[in-house]
Amino acid sequence: MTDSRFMNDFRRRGRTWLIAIALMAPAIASAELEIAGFGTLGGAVSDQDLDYLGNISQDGTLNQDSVIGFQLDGRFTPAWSLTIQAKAAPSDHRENGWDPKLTWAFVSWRPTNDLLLRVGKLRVPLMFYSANSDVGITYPFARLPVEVYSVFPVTDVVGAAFSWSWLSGESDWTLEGYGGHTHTDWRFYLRDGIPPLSSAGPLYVGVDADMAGLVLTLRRRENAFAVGLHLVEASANSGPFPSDYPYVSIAPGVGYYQTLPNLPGPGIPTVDILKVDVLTLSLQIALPKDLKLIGEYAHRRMENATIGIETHAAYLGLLRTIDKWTPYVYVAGIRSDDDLLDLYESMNGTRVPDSVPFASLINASQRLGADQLLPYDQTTVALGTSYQVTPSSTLKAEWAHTRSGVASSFMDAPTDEDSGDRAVNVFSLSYNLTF
Amino acid sequence: MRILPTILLLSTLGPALAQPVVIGHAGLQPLDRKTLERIYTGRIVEIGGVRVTPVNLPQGNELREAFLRHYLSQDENKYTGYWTVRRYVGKGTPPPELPSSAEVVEFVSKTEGAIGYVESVEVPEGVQILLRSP
Repeated sequence: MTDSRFMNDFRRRGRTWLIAIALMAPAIASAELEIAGFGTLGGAVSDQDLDYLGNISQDGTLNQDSVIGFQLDGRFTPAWSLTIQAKAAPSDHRENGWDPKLTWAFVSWRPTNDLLLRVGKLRVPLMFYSANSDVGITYPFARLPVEVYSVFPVTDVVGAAFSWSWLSGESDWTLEGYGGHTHTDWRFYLRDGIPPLSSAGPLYVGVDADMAGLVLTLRRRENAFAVGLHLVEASANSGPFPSDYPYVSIAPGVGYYQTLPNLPGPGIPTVDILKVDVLTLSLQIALPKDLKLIGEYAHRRMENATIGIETHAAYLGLLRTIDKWTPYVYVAGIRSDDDLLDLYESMNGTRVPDSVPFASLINASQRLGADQLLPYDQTTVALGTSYQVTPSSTLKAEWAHTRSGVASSFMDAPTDEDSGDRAVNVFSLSYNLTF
Repeated sequence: MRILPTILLLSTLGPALAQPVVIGHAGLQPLDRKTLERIYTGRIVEIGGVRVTPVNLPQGNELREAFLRHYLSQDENKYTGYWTVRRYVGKGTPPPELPSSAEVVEFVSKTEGAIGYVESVEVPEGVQILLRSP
């Protein structure tokens, strides 16, 4: 999405929300109001000259983890309340700059102990820390494991959500459901350009999606277990998604994948709406000696396309609280479907002889198409600690060692190079607070 | 003759340990510890059809720390951390804080469904004792 298109869209959405808030102003003015805020000043540097996660390189950056936000909670009656949250953070649809964003704006109704209903723009229950991922003080890691927390590129919908709780002895059960519409921007990194069709570098594709899901959570003393199922139907602002790249055989042992519509071939099959479902599993177990085990798993499955974002992702972490320190270690991994990784390797290595007409275009289109598959094959081991400076502020430090296998769409490989078989060390330091 | 050494010994122990007693608006029924914990962590908002409104003393108050320790089995860091998460997942805000026990008593006596805590030696008339730590 270009900057001008984004700004027009931002202005249109912003006007809508401002009108809604203005209409509610009398009610807001009569409510009991609380204003709170949060912020993270986070720096990260790696030992590689390529960009990892779009921002982190050996040049160092403050743009990966830094954020500042404010939240207004208003209570109209004991049962009715309003929550508005806004933040400023590095842009998620362009490479540079910070963008303001209305994160939440919803009305809550809690008529009984068991039922909570919310309507508006709200953050939905995905992984354990998805809803509070912007508030660094609320989770132990310096950065949430990107392998798992990238499975859902968006965490906010405009819609409705319910939460139904029931208590049974020491156990608290909660069933949460939601449905709504959202917009996000998927980032692709094209190693090579095909002038004038495309340039090398980041490419953002706007995606509109309808999401719905259910999450069942059990909390018992210090332990928690959750299982969720989420359904997504997505459409790209740029047009239909390719659902496959057909192979075009020119001669025995010579051929290419048709990744551009203007290349000779049977045509690229497409789907207007990509259907994705995601299964999530989360657990948190309190162990002796103030140890805590945290693990989460997400399986993202494509229903109607051969190529795309089908992945398995998981992490397992061990933490220990020692007075104000919480040292931790975690292992995380993400891997695309084997068929996708095989296709990626095949496309990435496909070359036609120079004697073939339009050979340079065909060869460049193979790597272009491979990049657009969004392959993931990556593992990370991280060692870090948080230190509670005050009850409302923490310092965090982390060293993370990441290795890619076949390829990793988190690594922006230089032109003519690959993102596979690489290792990146990232050192992160952040100060997190609420106020 | 043993009284004087005892008094001298007690005087070296510093300020007396706070002993909070949970009080509520007249008409509220006594609570058990689990229900009280769930009220102060936002998981229960009504009892017997009556909307409850718990109140706290300010952070750092000795009686508040004793209340958290005796009744919720938590310390201030854990309690504050719990409500920070709950606020920033959009599921509510912590109980209001009143600056003194006198204001807690006044609020509880005048507000239907109000619950608070005071020193065990300060329980006034006009409020219900809902729970007393053994």
